[in-house]
Amino acid sequence: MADQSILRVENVSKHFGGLVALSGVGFHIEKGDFFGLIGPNGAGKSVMVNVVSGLYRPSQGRVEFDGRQITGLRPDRIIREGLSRTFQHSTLFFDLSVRENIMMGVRTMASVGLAEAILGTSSAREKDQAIEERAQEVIDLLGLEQQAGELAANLPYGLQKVVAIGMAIAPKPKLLILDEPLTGLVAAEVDQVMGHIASLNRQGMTIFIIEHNMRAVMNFCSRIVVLSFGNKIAEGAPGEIQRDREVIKSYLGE
Amino acid sequence: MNSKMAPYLKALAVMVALALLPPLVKFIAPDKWELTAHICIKILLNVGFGLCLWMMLQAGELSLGQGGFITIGGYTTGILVAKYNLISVVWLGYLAGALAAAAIALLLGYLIVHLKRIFFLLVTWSFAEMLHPVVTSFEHPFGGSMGIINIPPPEGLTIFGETWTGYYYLALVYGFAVLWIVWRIAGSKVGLITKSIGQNDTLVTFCGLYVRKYKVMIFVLGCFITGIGGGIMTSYLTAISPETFTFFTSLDIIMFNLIGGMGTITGPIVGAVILSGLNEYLFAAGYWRMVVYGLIIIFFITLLPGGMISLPAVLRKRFARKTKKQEVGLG
Repeated sequence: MADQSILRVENVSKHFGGLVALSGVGFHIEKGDFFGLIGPNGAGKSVMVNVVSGLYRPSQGRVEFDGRQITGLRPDRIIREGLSRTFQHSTLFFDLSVRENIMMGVRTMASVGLAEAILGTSSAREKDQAIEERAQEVIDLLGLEQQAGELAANLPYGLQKVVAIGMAIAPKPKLLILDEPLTGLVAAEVDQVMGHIASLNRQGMTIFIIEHNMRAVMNFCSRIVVLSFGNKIAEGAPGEIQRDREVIKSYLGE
Repeated sequence: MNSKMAPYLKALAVMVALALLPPLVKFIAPDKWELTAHICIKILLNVGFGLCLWMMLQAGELSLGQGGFITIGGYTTGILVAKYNLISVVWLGYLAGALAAAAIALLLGYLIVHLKRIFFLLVTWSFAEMLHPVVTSFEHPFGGSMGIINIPPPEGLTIFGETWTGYYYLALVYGFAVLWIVWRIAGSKVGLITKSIGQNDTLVTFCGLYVRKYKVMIFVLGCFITGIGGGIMTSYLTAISPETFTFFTSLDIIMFNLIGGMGTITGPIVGAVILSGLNEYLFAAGYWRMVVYGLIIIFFITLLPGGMISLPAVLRKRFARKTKKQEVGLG
């Protein structure tokens, strides 16, 4: 009886003072899923991602990742468990090159030490090489070779989003959380970014996406959860969600 | 490989040239050597202090308390080797001073490294100011307002003849050793992490890295090295009192980075050379010194935020724009 859930969110609530951002929300994400979390503005989607990734501590409830309780762990610990996320805004180190940004994501970065860096020991050189090789793999995978030496700040917006994804997949995460990766992109860029995400999913990476672009969500997601004012109002396959009366009501009003 | 080695070789060449300075000056103008050595020793130690802060600034640690860590290094050395003779080897006194500075940096750093720049600045500044009444008030072990005197030079320093020649070489080794360490770190993956922390620490956290660990590490290392310099400076002066290293010491170290520029590792070196030299003359200006400081700060922050090292690029740009305008005018 192997448990296929990579992420289990159980009865999570988050209050900010008197404001209830999430109230008793629960869902599971299975390994290999392309999971979508949608809802109108202010529904609590980003709060949910922040709770899962450890930026916020939930007021109530628990989060389990790959069979391990992660509620209340430090965010960097949660990330090292094999979960990666991107951000809506300020997604990159803008004064670093694309290559350096992606290197920052590589897991080996966490093991470099100060003394070996100063002395340039063979262990430091091995780690450097591992980091650079992994970064090159990601650059090749996303087709960023031409921009690899450029400052992230100088890239067009769409490519910045691709670099952010590159940084997030560099550690080979078990679960990739994308917080509105398509916002602000033009149609061609949307296709480019979604193409990369879909291809990662085909290669077996579990995807958890928050997005407002309904066409993309409905086309790509295998399962969707809908939030409205901090409550889960629907869950199911894209077809079911599109027909759901509650969902239509929350998006269009009565 | 070659291009990687080139800057190191350049630094080595400068170091060798500086090593040949004493015999040269003594040959040309022997009566000028003591004063020259005095200025050079201060510059070289200040280069070390400036570089330490530069490394910390990369991680967003704007410390206005480096004078405090120099004080800790200096007093520890003085107390152990001169006042109580607990350590007979001065070199070990330097090490003890560095360890004391590092230990206090560890405690303080653990508490404050997560603070935003301005709060970090306020805490480090007030920490350094706290030391002043403490060392003034206690005859034991700090020697009260008189401080500690008769601090000897380290063993073997006199092989170069006069003590100031020995100290010149010691300061030279110190300055370039600090340069080497800071340079190595800046070029390493730890340096990449440090730089990233200075830009966006939340994002570093979500790269799976524990930001606090790296910030404390850099802070402790910076203060350790600064503590050694404090010991060397103190034994060079042969005495330390509550007035030896003050708020201005801390301010100067920030100014090295402001005047030289923080963009590259050359910045604090250029800044330390300029301001240490200038300080020798500003000393005579008494409290007018503060007016000069104010003007310097305003000038660099408003007109040349990239410091002296950005001057060539700024001038080139300005010049290019002027010629362009003229072309448009002619067209």
